[in-house]
Amino acid sequence: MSKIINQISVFISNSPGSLAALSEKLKACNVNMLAFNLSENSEFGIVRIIVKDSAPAIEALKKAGLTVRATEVLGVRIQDTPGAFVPAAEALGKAGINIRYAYAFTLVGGDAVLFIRVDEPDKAVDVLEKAGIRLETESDL
Amino acid sequence: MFWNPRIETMPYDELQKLQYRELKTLVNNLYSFNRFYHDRMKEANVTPLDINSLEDTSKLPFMYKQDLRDNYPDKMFTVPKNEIVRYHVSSGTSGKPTLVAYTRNDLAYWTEALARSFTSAGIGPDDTIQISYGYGLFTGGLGAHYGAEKVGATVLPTSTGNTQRQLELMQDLGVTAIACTPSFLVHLATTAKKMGIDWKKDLKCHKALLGAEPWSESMRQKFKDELGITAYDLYGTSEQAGPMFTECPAQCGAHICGDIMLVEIIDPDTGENLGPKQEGEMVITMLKKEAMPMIRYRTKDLTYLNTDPCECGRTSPRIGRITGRSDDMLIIRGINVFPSQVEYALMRIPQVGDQYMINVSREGDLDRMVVQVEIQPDAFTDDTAKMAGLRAHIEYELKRYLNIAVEVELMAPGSLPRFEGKAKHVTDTRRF
Repeated sequence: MSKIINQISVFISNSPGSLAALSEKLKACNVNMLAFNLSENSEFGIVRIIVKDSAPAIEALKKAGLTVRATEVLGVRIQDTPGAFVPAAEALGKAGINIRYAYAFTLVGGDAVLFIRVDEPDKAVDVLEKAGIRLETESDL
Repeated sequence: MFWNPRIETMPYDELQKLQYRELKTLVNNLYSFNRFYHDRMKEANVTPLDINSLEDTSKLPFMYKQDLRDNYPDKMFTVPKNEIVRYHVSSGTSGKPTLVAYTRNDLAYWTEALARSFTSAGIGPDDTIQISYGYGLFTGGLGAHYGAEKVGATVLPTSTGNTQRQLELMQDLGVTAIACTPSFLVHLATTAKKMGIDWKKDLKCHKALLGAEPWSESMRQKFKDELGITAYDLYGTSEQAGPMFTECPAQCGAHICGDIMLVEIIDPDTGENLGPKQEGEMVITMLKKEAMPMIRYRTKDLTYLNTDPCECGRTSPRIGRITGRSDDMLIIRGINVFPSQVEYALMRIPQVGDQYMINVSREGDLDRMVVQVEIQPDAFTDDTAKMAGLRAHIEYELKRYLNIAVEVELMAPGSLPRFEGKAKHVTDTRRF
């Protein structure tokens, strides 16, 4: 199973009510968000969403008229303790792989998943697996 | 193909002699029978005896939109009311409506101008034409309808609205041409895509006569590339009669039927006549009108006159595409800006989508112009830096073209309002 997760990126305008409208559409398409990030930007919004099964969700949202793109991210599974992300960050840094952005959510039972967007996802998968770091797949979520 | 070869190909000097005879007759008639224009001429110290050549037109006083409002409804009629067979009321966006009245002959000349126009756009008995201009008080629908019927085309009087049904009928009836506003055509194209219709393959509609609002050459190219439509600019104002004039296949400006309308270009500030190819305010004289006078009427449309011979053989002068009305013009931090310029700059950027909006406000002491631009769905990437870069690129292009710095806001496709009638691209909250 591919270690690369398809994050759903949605373009929304920066005006009051945009997020509410988006939420309505997500509800109508029966999309359940696992993790969610809204980037801070004064001109426009990019909403980043992780769902369990991205392909049908993307189709449904496109049909509903949203401007949607699939973006490859990695889900790094770590313990929910201080410093748990250090090994992964160091491995990527040593390999010269840049992390563009990241956001996280905690699972029930003590683990956390950090979703990271990197420039070279395939190389990053290699580097992290060699360092013994566990990566989530879409079906694991 | 000419509807009226004798007039349309009449040598220019002969046409001008005809225009002089018509002008003199008109001035005599108005001076004798129209109280309003008689008084106007008296104030300007001019009588019909002073008009002895076409050049003497410039001795006659101007008319303004305000005159129509001040004389509403019937203080400007030249003929008794029982000779009036039609009223149209124009879409006045503020204040009193503008009423225009027509005698039977006025309707005939309006139709004649359109018959010539439709013919020059290649529309005739073999065409089925959808009239998607509004029918009713607005001159667009009925005007285009009568013109299309005159040339023998099969007329489908859809008016505006019910876009889905319009497209279904377009498909079922094999519509070959459409007359509507450019914004409505964009709206039709977007709806067609949503309905799964491939305009180029599934529809036969490949000719369009677009008017009632300014539109750019880039839009013309877009219609050609994306819809396979040859689009002609249809020009006319309700004071003239309604839609009247269009381009010939050379697509290099609308031919103005010289026997029906006399065009002058003036400097809008000084009122002085300008020469051919000089841009200024268009002033019109309706040489054949009976019900209401329209002499040296200041249209506020900005254009130029082209008297060069045209490859199509028509000798009537052409006007350049209207670059804006002097009352559309915005002044932003002292610089003149036309919404049509904004559209022109935007349409040349491939990532820009179908709709834009200009929001003008005053922040403290300075004017602020924000252009909200819808992006093409393909132009969206997850990369914030790239999106910000696109925004910066659009701002750069607008600054280059307009000579002022404006702010751009990227908007999701479909998020800005759409218009079925005249498009309103500007909101201005400044109060002076």
